[in-house]
Amino acid sequence: MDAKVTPAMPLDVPAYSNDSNWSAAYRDQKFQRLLQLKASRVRPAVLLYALTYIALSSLAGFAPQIMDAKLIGSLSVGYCLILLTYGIAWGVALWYVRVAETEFDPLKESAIKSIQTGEFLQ
Amino acid sequence: MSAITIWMFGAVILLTLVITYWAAKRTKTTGEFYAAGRSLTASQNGLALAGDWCSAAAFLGFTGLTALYGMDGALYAVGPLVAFCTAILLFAEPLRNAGKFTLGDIVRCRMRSRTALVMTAIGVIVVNLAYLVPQMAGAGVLIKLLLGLPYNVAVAFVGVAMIVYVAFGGMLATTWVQIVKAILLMTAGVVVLFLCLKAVGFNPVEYFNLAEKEHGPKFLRAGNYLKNPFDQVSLGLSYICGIIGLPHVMTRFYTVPDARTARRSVIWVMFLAGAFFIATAIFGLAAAHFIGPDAIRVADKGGNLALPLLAQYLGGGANTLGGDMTLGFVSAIAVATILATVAGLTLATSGAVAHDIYVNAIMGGHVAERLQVRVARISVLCVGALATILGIAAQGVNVAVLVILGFSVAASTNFPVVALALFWRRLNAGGVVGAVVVGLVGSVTLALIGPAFLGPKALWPLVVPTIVTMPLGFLGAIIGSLMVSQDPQSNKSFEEITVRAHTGLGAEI
Repeated sequence: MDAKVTPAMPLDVPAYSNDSNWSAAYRDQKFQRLLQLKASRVRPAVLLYALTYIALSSLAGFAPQIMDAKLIGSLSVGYCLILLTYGIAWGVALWYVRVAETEFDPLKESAIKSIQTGEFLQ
Repeated sequence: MSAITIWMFGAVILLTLVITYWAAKRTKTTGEFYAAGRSLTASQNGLALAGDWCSAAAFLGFTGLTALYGMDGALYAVGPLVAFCTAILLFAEPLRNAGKFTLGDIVRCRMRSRTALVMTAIGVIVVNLAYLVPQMAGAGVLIKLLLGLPYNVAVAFVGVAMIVYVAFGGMLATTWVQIVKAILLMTAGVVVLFLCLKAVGFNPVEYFNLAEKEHGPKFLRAGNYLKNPFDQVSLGLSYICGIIGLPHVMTRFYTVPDARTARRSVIWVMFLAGAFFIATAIFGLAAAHFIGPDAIRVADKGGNLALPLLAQYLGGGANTLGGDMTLGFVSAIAVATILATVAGLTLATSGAVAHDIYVNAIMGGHVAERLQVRVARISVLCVGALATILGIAAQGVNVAVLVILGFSVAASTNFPVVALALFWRRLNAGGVVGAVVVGLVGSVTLALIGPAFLGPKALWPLVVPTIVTMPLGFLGAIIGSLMVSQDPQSNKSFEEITVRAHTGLGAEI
């Protein structure tokens, strides 16, 4: 078992620090499952919004003629892609809140219970 | 300057002072001063975030850019909305759970190193001052144009107002000033959008047709403003990563009771600010049609008066009651916008000076609560005075470089530090020093030798250097960390901060 966490310097640190075995909490199986679940769900969402936005910026910079193609009257592909980017950003954010509240939060509560009945705070 | 404009301006100032008086009576502890007692609801924090995030650059700038340069204005506007995806997915909850009052708290929890804490605070102060000074300078120009006050008087007025709000009312006053501003802004946005759409039979595509017909097909193309393609990509990176390095935005997540409220508040800001940003494309094209780019440039060469002029036109035109009322309303909001943003920036800077450097780095955290609040108030006074002096000195200087510098430093210095502190086990104090030194020096150097500062004589081709300086900042952090032998304490504190960030155990309440 790891030694209890003690600050290397006499800096004020937030509550819990000196009394808790954070390493044991970190190794808790449910907590590790929470980290894995978050990584597996969040990573594709990060890729989606980041890549689509960088792709939009790259198109604007390197292929403005594609952005300039007209769709409805003088409304161009570029403006529609900008609108789509708004939609993706809103969609990703709403999706995240739903996943966080239906999947992450219950597992988090379970991990906290598991941590608090384990070596943490002993 | 019409009497209606002065009355509306006066009403906004009076309202904000009443808020400050109310907040001051409720601001006694550091938790109340820096984090509004962590008592805000998701909608309150979301509105305040919207008030903070829709700065004058967004409120007036995006409309002006669209009116003068077409699509580049809309491309500029979408970035700040997408940036909140980074915040909600990766940082809002960990910051709320593991932090206390400042970005430096994350580094303090992770490193327990005074050097790392001071370096982080320096990054925060540079970003905030780089933002504050252009806001002050912009306030001077705007108030001079709208109310006829001399530049120096206008800057000093904004300086005194922000010091009063923040020193007396802390985060609570700052928050409610931002909320009031956001509500006024959204109200004005709905009214102006309704009038814009009504003018074209509620068919927004008509503005695109009119723009192409009146200003030629080139007007609606990308690249009229940012001519170097790499600048478009670099700007995109600045937004989606730089937001995490903006302390006045990130510290707003400390004002809510838990991580769930933090994430919900992001939804509020994304829909409120996002809807407004979309509308700026219509405002800009409508201004280009009704006012015309040449007349907009005559009023302000950067296009910042496009929206007030459009509001005046839609209200009935110059020297009409309706025109004066809409111009007065939008002008009052413009001033409220600046006050709300500078208040947030001043509070975040004061946190870095008083909480990070004085209380934690110098005194090791051993400072009585009342003294901490007093020091925080004194630091607000000092930061406000410095920003006012710099704002007055910046008259006539091209301050655009400072905005770019602020974003670049945020993405190249503060972002690598916060991201790696939360997600990279090997980061240590050497890495923080490496990120701050390399990110800061790289950003400052490239911004100063770039086109924003040197114009056609630029030695470096990009206006926005983030595409180079952000990887450099990460490289500095990684090399700096590897140059220092791994500290077992840093290893353990990575596990501590990870548990804190993802569970909320030990979170400040």
